[in-house]
Amino acid sequence: MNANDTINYINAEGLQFFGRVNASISHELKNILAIISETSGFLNDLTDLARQGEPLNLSLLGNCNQSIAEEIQRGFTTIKKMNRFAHSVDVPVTEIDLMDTLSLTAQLAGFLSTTSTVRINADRKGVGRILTSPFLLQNLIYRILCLASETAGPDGEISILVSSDTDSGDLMRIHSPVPGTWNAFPTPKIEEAARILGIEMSLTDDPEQLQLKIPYVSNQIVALAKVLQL
Amino acid sequence: MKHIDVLIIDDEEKFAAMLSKRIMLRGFSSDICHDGGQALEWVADPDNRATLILLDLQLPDMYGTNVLTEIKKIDPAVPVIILTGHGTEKDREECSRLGAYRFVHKPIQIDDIVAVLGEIGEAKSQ
Repeated sequence: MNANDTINYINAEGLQFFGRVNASISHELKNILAIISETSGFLNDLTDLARQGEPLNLSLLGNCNQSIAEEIQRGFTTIKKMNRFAHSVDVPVTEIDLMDTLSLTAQLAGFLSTTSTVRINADRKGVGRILTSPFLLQNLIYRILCLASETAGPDGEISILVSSDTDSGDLMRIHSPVPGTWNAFPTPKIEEAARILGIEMSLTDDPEQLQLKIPYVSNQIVALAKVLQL
Repeated sequence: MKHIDVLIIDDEEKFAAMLSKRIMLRGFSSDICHDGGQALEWVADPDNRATLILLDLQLPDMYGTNVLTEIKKIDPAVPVIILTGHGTEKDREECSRLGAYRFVHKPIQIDDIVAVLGEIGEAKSQ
C-alpha cells in the first residue's frame, strides 16, 4: 500500500468509524431524552391526579426530580465525550497520552449495548506520550473492544493493563476470562490499522490475552506525518 | 395464568420503569424484561400472557428483530410494537415483514399505547 492508498484507507475507514460512533452517541442521547420525556409525562399524570383531589406524593415528586437531574448530567457527560471524540480528528498525527485515548475509546464503545464492561489499569505512574494518529488508534482500540465483546458479551468484563515496554513504548494487555474471545482475531481491518500505526500485536495462551506493543514513535507514523506534510 | 396488558422489553431500566408506572396509572397491568433472553423466557412460560408487547430493537444480548422472530414462533397472535431509539428504514421493513404491529420511534405517546390496547380489545370482541 503506497502513501496515497494509506491516506485513502484512513479516510474511508475513519468516515465509517465516525458514523458508527456518532450513531451510538445519538442512540444514547435519545435514550436519555426518552427517560426525561416519560418522567415529565409522569409528573403531568401526578398533576392531573392532584387536580382531581388525589393527595400529592412528595416522595414520588422528589424521585422524578432526581431522575431528571441525573439524566441531564448523563446527557452533559455524553456530549462532553462526543466533543472530545469530534476533536480527535483536529490533528492527523500528534502526541497523545495513551491512558486518555484508551479511556475515551472504552467509554465510546460502552455506548453500544453489546459491549462488555471494560476495566483499565496502569501498573506505573505516568505513561509516556505517543506520537500517533489519535483517530486511527481510537478506531483500532474500538474494533478490538467490539471484537472481544462479541464473545465476552454485555455481562462480561474485559481488563486492560497498560505498562512500559522498555523505553521504546507502552505495552497494552487486553484480557477476557471467556475462552475463545480472540478466535476471530485479527480481522483484516484491525491488522491494517495496526500496520499503519506501527503497532505489533500478538496473542498469548496463558492467560489468553492480546498484547499490543505501542511505540512512542514508529517509522510508519513518521512516514505518515511526512506524507501529510506535518 | 398471569395475564398482563403490556409487556415492556427494554434495557433502559429507568425508561421501562417510568413507562410501566404510567401504563399502570391508566388502569392497565404491566411487566418488564430487560433483555431478549429474559423476554423469550417470559413469553414461552405457559403461565404468562400479554395483550401487547413493546419491544426495543437495541437489546444487550439479541437484536430486536431476532427477538420478534422468536416471539412470533411462540405466540403468533400477540401484537408487538417496535419501540426504538434509532431504527432504520431497513429495520422498519424487516419488522413489518416479521409481523410487527407498529414501528414507533421513542418517545412514544402514552395515549397511543392506550389507543392500541383499545383497538386490540375491540378487534377481539368482534
